[in-house]
Amino acid sequence: MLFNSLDFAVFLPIVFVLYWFVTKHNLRLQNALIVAASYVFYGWWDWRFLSLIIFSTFLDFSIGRRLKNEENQKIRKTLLWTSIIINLGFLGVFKYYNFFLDNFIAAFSFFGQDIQPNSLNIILPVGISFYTFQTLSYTIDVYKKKLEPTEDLVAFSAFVCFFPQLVAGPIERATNLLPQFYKKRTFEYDKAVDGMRQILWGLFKKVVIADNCAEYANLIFNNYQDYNGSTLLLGAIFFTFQIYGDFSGYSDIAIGTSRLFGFNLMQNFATPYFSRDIAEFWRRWHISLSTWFRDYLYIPLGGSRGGTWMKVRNTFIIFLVSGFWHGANWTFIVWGGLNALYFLPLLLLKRNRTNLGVVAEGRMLPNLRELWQMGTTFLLTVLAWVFFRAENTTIGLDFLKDIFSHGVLEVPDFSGRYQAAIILILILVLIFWEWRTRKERHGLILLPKQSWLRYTIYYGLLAAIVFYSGSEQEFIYFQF
Amino acid sequence: MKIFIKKTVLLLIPLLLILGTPNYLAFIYGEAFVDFEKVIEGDRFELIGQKFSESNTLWLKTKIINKRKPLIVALGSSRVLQFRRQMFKDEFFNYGYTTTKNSTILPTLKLVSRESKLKYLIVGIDQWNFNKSWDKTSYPNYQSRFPRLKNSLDVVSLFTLVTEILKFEGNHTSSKGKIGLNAIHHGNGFRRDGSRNYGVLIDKLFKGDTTYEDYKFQDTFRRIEDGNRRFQYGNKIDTSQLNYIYDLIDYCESNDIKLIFFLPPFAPTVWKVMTESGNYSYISDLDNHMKTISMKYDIPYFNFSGPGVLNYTDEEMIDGFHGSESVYSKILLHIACENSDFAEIIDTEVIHGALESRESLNIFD
Repeated sequence: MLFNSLDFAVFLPIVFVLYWFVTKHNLRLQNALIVAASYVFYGWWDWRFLSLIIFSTFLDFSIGRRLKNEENQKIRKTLLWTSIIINLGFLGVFKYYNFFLDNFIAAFSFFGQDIQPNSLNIILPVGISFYTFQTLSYTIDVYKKKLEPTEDLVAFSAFVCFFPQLVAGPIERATNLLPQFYKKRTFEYDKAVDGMRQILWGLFKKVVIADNCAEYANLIFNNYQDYNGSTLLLGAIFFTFQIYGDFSGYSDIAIGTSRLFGFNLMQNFATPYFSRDIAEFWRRWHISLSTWFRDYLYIPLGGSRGGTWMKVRNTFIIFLVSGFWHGANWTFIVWGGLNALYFLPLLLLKRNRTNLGVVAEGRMLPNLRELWQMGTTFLLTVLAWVFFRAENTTIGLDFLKDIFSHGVLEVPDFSGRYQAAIILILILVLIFWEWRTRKERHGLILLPKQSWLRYTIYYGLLAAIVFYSGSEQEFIYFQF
Repeated sequence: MKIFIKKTVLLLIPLLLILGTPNYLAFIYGEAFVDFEKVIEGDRFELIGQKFSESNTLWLKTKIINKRKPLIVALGSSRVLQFRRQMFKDEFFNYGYTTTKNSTILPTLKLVSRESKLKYLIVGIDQWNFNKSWDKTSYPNYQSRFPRLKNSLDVVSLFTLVTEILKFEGNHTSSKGKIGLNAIHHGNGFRRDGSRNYGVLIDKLFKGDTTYEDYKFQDTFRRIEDGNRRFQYGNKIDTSQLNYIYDLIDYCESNDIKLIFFLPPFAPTVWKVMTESGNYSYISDLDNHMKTISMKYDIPYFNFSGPGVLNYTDEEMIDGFHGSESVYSKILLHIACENSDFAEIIDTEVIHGALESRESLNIFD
């Protein structure tokens, strides 16, 4: 079920009413309702894949309980690795099997050996990368004794399949989300209103910004050989805002929806395109995944504690794995590698933690230095996104080459460029608005006190969503 | 909580009214929220004519053809849509309006399941597909499963829908088995056998309605005068296009499918203007190439570009380049006389009867 679909518009109020009125604030009933609603939400795509979620739930619940009573370190480790291997095994089969197979075939044929193994004709279960990482965080935290294992199967099931963030995050830590299923939840007016505002803001970013940008990004990327350099650069910029609007919009809707049910999810985006260097960008983009990799991969590998070689190795590992997490394609690995290359100088010069606060703190506008830093970081990000969007690495390289060799200073020339100018204006509105609220959790926190002005903003956004939505595109991150 | 719900509802009421009403109408008229899988599976339609949804024609017809598994199929653009089930002795499906380019004829045919019983294939090849000067990119192939959005129309379409419904002045025909605004209001859409019912358009023609877009072929003549919209000028064909014909012949031979080609008809006066202008000599070049191919591969081929042997009239045309059922009946009668294989499947007796007793351009209604 898509957040921007009629199905969800009917589903959400029904679940909301059942949750607050029918369960009568009974915690177990509320949790059970969340599990049932989440299974309906997920099964709307393909009910068969529910079996994977249910299996993962039982597996990690049982392993958690065994870990609680087990003191033998060897057995504890075996239990942990059982969970990791099985969970990542599912991910490997469904997401990466054909990728590895194709590359083995290519490698063998390079050495003159033709092999023809069977590829799997399978579809990728929606959101498998997200919930797999979420359940893994539980088992790892229990293993490390950072978290008390749960005895409540219903609460644990709700934690694994909580529908607002089930298919595209934020990837919640068990330490943050699971305890919320144990506590009595009461309706809070301010929290619910804030949730509705965040949903509205998320819908605007998804339906108006991302979906409209997608039309032009698709046009330019699909026919890149026909365009001059400036058009290609514009195409890359359209994709840059498409992926931001799409993914941060989804996160906003997920967080806002959770707040309607009394839950607090972690912030996933913090105006990343205002970052002054690439390290800051990665502290502000897909925060739940970056911190997951930091805590469960980078730090266990030694983090930045060792010598230079160790730091370089760990940086590359985390970025390459992060790239590969996004999809079974070399384009994502190149994208990850490129970001590692951007990051490395900062790490080696020990400047990766220079910009920790928000840009232009206490000022209305950035100074020239900050403007330059933001501009260069943004451009580097745009160029990296080209690989993320390209069909394959050859196209990605050609696209980048053509940007700089086919008239990057010419006027962009493509059909519909005047309509596209409207999208650019909307992007400028988004930039202005997000700059204004760059310290806040989402774009609609700082609203005028006068109710008529607030309602004008609400109706303005609703009108844009209804009358200026782009053609329906599936959320990009669903494929991951 | 009550205040929260009250405020949310009040905020959304205007939106619900603006979107809810047209979406409800879209549902009632079958323009959105139609589960075509179920419709086709249960054979629950007489006419499908959605105003906003021609983009899913290929998907729909492919679903139907693979369910029905007909013995005889007509394939091509809108210029084969007048062949009907009654014209044949055996199970027939009109797979027309699914391919508008030579390059997509074979890929479209390959969508027909391997388990199908297809034995006879009638292919109409549009003359302009061989003209080098024709801008093929302007005519998309219909590939999507869903018309626009899966479950609702965009806002502009919704308001067009409401306006159309409000200003409709004709008589509502029974909507039983009809899906889509065009089918319900205008009787216009695809029948169960895949053929096209032009509905009220036929009545307009019959009554000599001057508001009809191609009244007395004025729009077609404009195309000829301007040399655009499929009527670009040309002397020689683009011979590379013939490769698609060779590929199709190979495929049919290896799958034991009896194939027949024909060039679809233009209105007699239109054809006269075209030939006299000398701007369309690529069609005679095409005819020569097709005759050679026909002889070489022993594939029946007919050129029905002009009235010639069929002796049809302007009054039997729907517009400048679409014949009516009466013209296509004559085409089949001619084929039956010339080719013994196809004579076996064409119901000449029924066609003769229908032609004699016809009261409209739709000779079987």
